[in-house]
Amino acid sequence: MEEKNTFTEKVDEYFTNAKNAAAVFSQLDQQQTDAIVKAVYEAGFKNRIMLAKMAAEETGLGKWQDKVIKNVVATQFVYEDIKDLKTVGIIHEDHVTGITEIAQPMGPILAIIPVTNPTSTVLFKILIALKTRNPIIISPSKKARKCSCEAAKICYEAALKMDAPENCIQWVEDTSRETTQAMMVHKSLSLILATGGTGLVKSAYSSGTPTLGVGAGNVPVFIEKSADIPFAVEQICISKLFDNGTICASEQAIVAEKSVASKVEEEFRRRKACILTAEQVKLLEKAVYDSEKKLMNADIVGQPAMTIAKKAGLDVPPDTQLLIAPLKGVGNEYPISSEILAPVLAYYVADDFEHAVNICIDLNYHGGIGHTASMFSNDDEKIKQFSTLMNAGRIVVNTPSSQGAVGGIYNMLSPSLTLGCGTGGKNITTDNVTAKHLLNIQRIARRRENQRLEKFDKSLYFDESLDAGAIEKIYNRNF
Amino acid sequence: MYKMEEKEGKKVFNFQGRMDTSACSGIENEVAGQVEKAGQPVVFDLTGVDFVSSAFLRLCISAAKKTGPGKFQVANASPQIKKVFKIAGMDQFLSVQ
Repeated sequence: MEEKNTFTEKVDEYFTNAKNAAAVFSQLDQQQTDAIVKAVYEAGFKNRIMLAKMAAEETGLGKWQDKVIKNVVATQFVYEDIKDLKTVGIIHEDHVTGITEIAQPMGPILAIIPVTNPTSTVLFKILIALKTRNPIIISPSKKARKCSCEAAKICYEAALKMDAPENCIQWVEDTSRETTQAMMVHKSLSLILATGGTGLVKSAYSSGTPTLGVGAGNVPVFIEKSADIPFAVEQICISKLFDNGTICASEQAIVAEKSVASKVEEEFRRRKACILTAEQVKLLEKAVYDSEKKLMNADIVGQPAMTIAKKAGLDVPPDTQLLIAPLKGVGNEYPISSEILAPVLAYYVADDFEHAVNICIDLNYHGGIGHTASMFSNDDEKIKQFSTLMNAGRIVVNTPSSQGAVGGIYNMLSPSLTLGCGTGGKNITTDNVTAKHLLNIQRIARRRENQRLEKFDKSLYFDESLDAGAIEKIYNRNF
Repeated sequence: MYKMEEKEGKKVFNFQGRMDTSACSGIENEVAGQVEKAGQPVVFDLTGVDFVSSAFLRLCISAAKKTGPGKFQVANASPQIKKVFKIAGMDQFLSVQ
């Protein structure tokens, strides 16, 4: 009983601190807020390499060099994107409509941090929280506790030097499932920024606290016949090999039209990808997929292709970078058609455009609804047709999807490490989540008379002989 | 930074200007000591205070605890400062006027 009280008191203490920080934060103006954000960005950026190495070492996932790039996106690119955003006080005035918008902070935010991006997600979430004057509590993954807490600490020290409120950034060093659950339902919590596995995101949504979450990805890549094939394959390899495939927006399956398939395969082989035989695919399935949980095996996430090949007992060339599994269908009976966050790709050859789009739809709906789809094509009509048929928040075109989906590098999407997946992914937005999502916008609505209603004879509403069309005609009459 | 006076049987602390971290660190112990030995209701008068830091909020919490229920009051807070106490949830356990 005593232990339980201590635990509750501990959780309460985080929120007492956070509420006080929120209160003090509410007094800061735009200039003071921006100065804090700039200092934190600079501190995060300065430590990008140290934090990346720490993350790679602690988690054993991915490559530290790629984690440096993630930290750069989370600091430099995010800062560039948000630095001029108005987030304090009056942010928009329209004298014609009489509407004035006022930005207010939301209050304490709980940030759930995934093991796959343990420092970049911390840096990113802290920057967008501070920009909007919201205190933030970092809840790291158990497997990445040290590096996530270190990233938070670096940011906090930089923030304090610029007179940020005490406890505007807090972190949970002794994280546990129970602590996270207790925090998610705490009455003083305003918002959860939930980036992580499906189970965790679902708990966040079920907590009753407003949540901005993410969905799982299963990104199909359609190589349409008008695409520049060597370029497409080069881009896919850059993307899929980035941090050994740990980004949820990384390519999961390649769908090539028959007319270009042999060229696609030749290009993949040239780039040290190994296209597996049917027997090898069977062996790989067992190594990368847990058929009971119907999920990828956690121990292959972010591992190099050769490590996975060895685990699967595959005899492949020793310099293999990417494992490609040709498949005949999509679904649980084809495990590699599911999301695998490692250098493993499913591969399909389609008869024509329609067939290819149908395979992509199946892939998209097999665990990746609302996330990301990718297409390589130089036919704008087909790009639009494909995009309309995908259920994806982002359809990236002629772009490596890992880097394309996070925004700011290959397109003008907002740089973000929290990619909304819309209602399909059980999220409230399809946007790349950023600072603008962390504000309560108040609207002053000044009186502006509706001139048409003023001149309209309202007694006509009581005349049953008049239908909607007749009323509309009179209502819209120009005098 | 602050003045103290006796008024209608209460010990009134009049604060001025920005009660930021550095301002509070200079007076924290002294104010806490005065509150401790007050032996009567205590009022923090915030006329003319335009910013309060976490340190000042802590000072209020500590004063409320030392004086006991109903014997501590924050008075003459501007709307901006009143809202700060609301956001912190402190109006639940101390009186902010």
